[in-house]
Amino acid sequence: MIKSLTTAATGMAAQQTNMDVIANNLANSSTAGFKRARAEFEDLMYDNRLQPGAATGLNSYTPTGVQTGMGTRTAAIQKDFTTGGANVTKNPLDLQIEGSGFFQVRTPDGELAYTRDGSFKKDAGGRIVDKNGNSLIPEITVPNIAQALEITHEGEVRALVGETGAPQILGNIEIVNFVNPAGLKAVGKNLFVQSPSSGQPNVGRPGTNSMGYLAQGQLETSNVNIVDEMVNMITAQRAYETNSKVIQASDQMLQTAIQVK
Amino acid sequence: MSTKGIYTALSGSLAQSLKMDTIANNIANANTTAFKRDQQVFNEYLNSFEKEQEVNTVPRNLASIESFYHMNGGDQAAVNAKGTYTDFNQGALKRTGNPLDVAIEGKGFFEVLTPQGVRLTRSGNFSLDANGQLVNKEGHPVLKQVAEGATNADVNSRIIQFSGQREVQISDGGEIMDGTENLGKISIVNVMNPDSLQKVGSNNYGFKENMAPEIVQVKVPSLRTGHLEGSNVNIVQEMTDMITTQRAFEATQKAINAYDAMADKLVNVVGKVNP
Repeated sequence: MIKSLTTAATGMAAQQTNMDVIANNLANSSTAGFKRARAEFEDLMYDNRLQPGAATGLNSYTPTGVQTGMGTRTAAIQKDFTTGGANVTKNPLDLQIEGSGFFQVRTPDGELAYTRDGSFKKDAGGRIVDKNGNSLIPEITVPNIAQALEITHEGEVRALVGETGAPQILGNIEIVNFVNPAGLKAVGKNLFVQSPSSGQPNVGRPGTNSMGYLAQGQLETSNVNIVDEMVNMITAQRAYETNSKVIQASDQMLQTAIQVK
Repeated sequence: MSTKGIYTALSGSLAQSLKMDTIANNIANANTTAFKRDQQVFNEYLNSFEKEQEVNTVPRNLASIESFYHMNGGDQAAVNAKGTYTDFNQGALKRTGNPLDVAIEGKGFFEVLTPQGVRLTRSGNFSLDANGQLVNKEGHPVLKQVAEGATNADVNSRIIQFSGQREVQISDGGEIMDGTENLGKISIVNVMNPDSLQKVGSNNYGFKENMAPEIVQVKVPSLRTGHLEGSNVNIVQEMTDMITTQRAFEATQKAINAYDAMADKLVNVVGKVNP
């Protein structure tokens, strides 16, 4: 009886985690380059009251044994890296990776971080930086005499300078891919950092090594599907309620047992 | 009269409490990937079977109350938890769009290599680890079928190794594609004797001792890539079971109460000595 109380409590804790993940997805449904997450659960260990296969007599064994489970736990919170939609902004420094891959930026502590959010800006020196001022790696500086900026599908950055508008090559944007992008650690501000389970970054030009091409003037929208999340929220809430009912019922059973005397 | 029947009522309480634990576990796992619900099965345990069969002696014994109301030990029976059965019915498939989420349609299990040996699972939420191996959520490698004509049956040769440079894909027929290279087929096994499986936690199934699982390799698996199998727990059914369990528990408690009241009468009313 006490076991069913704690078992239901693990269920409530799991649904709470589920709800936290769903709330974060919904809160980021308009965040550029956001990737939805999903909580995944697995059952806990089992208590074997009667060992399966225990002998019950001469040449006879219990076919099933008696097992009760101990509840559930969150096995993983899996990031879903499917591509989001395209939001055409016409801003020359808005970039979308059409396929897999990440932009590299250098954070203030000197470490590399990875992002799918391609809404870049220029800082006072003309360097291409992200919203938080982290510079895009490899660094590209746009001269202040540039009239227009052109970024090809393969990542070549050209500025049209002078009155003739002659293109001047400023550099190449490189993107990286990981063996297991789901193993990247999200650190907020649309950034991910490498982790032992993500593997080493493979740097390459867009369009090579199964990485996506770049598209200038558009942004990747979040891949959160509101309808999906709402349905998940309903099931999470109901599962939470059901688990609380189990606690109630167990409590009432305990109360009955106590009232016997 | 005696109150030995109180232990019969007690065994009923314990059985209902065990059932409640199982229902709580089913409900706690209502959102667990590919969870299969458990059911407890009870049977009647007659103490009379422990005795020798009675032989009529000549001359007959004096008739007693027991001769007319022969209970065959039924008055001393108890409820015994006989077994836990797992309901292996298909759970609902839910679309995720992730190319490494694989659901099995119909019967069968994936094979994963854990430190304790090969375990079976139906939970197909796989991912790649840092080395490019296809692993489950615990980080244990998923196994593929032994290549056609290969003599080397070592399990380590069946780990699925991706290069990590190319698009990975698992077809509905189980073909594992790394770009255009075919790495083989994902291993799906059928267990002809599902009673030989034992839940070991983490969505995995191990094998029971003393029972032959009769494993058969499925040559052409029927999979759904980009889907996950949900839990087959039906909340409505579990809630109903919970109500009946709770009421049965209360009823056995009432029976204990009644025995208590009877003993009370016996001690304090029948046995009352008038001053």
